[in-house]
Amino acid sequence: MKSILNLNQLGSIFPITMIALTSILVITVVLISNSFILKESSKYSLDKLEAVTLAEAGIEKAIASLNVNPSYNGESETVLGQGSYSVSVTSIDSNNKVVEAGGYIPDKTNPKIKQAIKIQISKGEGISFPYGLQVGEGGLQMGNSSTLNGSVYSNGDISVGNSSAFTGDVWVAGGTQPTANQQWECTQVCQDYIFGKSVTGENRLDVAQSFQLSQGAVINKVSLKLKKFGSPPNITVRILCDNNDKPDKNNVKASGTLSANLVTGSYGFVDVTFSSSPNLSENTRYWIVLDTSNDANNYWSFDLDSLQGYGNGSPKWSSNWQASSPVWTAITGDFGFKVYIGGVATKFTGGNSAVVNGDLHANTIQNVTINGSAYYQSISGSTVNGTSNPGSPDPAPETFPVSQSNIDAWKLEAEDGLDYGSLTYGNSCNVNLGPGKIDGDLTLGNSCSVTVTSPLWITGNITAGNSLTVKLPSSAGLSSGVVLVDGTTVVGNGCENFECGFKGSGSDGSYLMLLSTYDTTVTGTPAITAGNSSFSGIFYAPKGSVSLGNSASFKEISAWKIITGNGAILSYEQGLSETFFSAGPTGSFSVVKGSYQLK
Amino acid sequence: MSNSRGWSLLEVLIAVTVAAVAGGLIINLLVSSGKLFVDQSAQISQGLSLNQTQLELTELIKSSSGIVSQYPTQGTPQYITDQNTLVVKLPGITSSGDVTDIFFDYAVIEADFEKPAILRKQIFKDSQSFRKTENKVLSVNLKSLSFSYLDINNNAVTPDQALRVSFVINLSTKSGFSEKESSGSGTVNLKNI
Repeated sequence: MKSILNLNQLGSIFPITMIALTSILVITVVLISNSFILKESSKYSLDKLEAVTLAEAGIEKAIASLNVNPSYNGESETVLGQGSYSVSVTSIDSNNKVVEAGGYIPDKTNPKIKQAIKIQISKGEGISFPYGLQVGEGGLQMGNSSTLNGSVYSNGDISVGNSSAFTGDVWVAGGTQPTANQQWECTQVCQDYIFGKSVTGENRLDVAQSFQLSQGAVINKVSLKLKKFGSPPNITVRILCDNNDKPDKNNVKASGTLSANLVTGSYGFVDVTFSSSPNLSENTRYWIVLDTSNDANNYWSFDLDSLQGYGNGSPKWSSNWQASSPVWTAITGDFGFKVYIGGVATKFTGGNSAVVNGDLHANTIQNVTINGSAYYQSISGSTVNGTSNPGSPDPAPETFPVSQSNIDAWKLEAEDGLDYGSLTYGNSCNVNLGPGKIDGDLTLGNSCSVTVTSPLWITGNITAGNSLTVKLPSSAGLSSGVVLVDGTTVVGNGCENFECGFKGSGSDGSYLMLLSTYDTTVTGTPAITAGNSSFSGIFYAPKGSVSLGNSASFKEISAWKIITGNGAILSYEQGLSETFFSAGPTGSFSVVKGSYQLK
Repeated sequence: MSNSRGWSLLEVLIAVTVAAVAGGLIINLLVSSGKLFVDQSAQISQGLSLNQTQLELTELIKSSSGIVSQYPTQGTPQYITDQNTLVVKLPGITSSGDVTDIFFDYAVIEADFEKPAILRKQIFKDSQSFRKTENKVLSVNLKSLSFSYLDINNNAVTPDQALRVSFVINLSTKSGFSEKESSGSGTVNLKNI
């Protein structure tokens, strides 16, 4: 009988089992690998957040370091926790820097994860001199064959003699009317209006004051009566149109920066200029809006007149002026403010062979050779070797780098020091003065050497002979100092090679500033009169004129008006853009609102 | 005549029983493995999606200049910020790649209107901005997403007053008759306000 089954036939259980086991193995392998992918993804997410945190730590480190050491410029790699960070600092100017920080996991050399953050930081306080010459509405008059090695910014006319030269750029701003078109200042029932923080449940981040001009004109600057608590950063000030008795967020006429370094712990008017000078209509409501960030420890106060004496406007506050439907709440009173309009024609007038090697910006340009570009409304008798830009708007005026509040703070500090009556010293004197106040005059003979511990305030006049040296003690280190004088200052001839004049401590970056509060616009007498030869130091006279002799050489002058003799040379020192004054508020950096960027 | 003979009935029954048991075991193993594969794959996919969504939300909120109540900010809104929808204002990007507060872009995080399981991130840029517009799907398994708007003391405030934003996200995937869920949350400070 033939078997119905072939016992030698291969079975299929084994292949089936193998297929099944292979399938299970494949599924297992795929699941395990996917689990690894999820684990890696989760680790990536955590590491990415850690890299952000490391980069933010780098930013914090940079701010802390800059507040201790202004020359801090970053670090290549610092290990922290499971990773590391790097920091680089780039200066925009002395008060503003860009900080870029990178966070790396596990390290910078072979990073699995890296994250960069870029922010801008601003110094709440401190003073800088970005121009070799900064001139107010009084303007600049330079004698024949004078040279300016640097840039000049003038809010008034510039007139230069034959063969005078500017190596840098020259700006002549559109002129400002000498008196404010609109203003208010509390004189009777005054109170603090705190903003830039939450006060009794009110999140007062933005405040505004409305006004109406008595004539249509361009707006050149506003002054605001403020004080500060702590070290708040610079704030943005805008001019907004009105919409139903509220600032119109969609109609910004101008924007400028209020430098926190110009504001002190006591009230004072602080100027704010704008990047452009917009035209405003007469008898139309506009708003000055101050846009701050929330900081419980570093905030602001407006001087508020509780009696509401200003008839052309009123103040309001909001938690967010840019909100989709911003809520503005009325404030009872009026803020201290001034609004200045332009409309004063300004010009640059050169003599024979006068040359500007950089760009020249002015409403009217006459008789000069411009090797850079020219920006103007009208031009005559001039040669432009760069690009001509007719129809250019007038440059907006620049504010001075020292405010009345800064001056008041120095004076208060001086009053806490030594008290002197009038002082007179003969030739070759060698004296130590300050910190303190001389209630009277300071008279010095020839070749005197005065060591000043800052600040020194002289309520009367300074009269000095030739070869005067006034300097800071070496203990001042990197800090700079100030000599304030309310009367006139007359000094004789200087020395060769900047060996005399007003000098710092001897350390690089240390300067001594002669600051005159004398008002030339009232008397016509120069605030500071200097002889021939060279003078070290910073000369600063916001309301006065500075008159320089022939062949006089200087490092930095900022004054309402400057008059130089023939052959004067001004050589700007780059370090002046990063000057710290110990005898007054010094700087601390903080993050500029809106500048945080994940890169 | 051959000596060979057929299998006895008993032998056949034993063989069939053994084959049935072995086959059943193998089939069961295969089915279980398949189900496990589907379940775990769904969970892993959800986890990846959750990680990515949380990262995107964190970076967006950190970089924002504020929460706005609607987009467009003027006129009839297309998107309104509420518990389930986030509209943020982002600093504009200049030609040099830096942020600016002169003009702003806007981003919207919202579930798709027609397919609510799809979570989208959309970026609407200002005409002056160099930021890229985006319409990106963050997840296709959204079950719920909620935002809370807080001040610095973690008190609830209106969106345009918020200094920090808290979010809770739940993702869900159907796997056979069961539903797999993953959830994540975070609280992020706005860095540009």
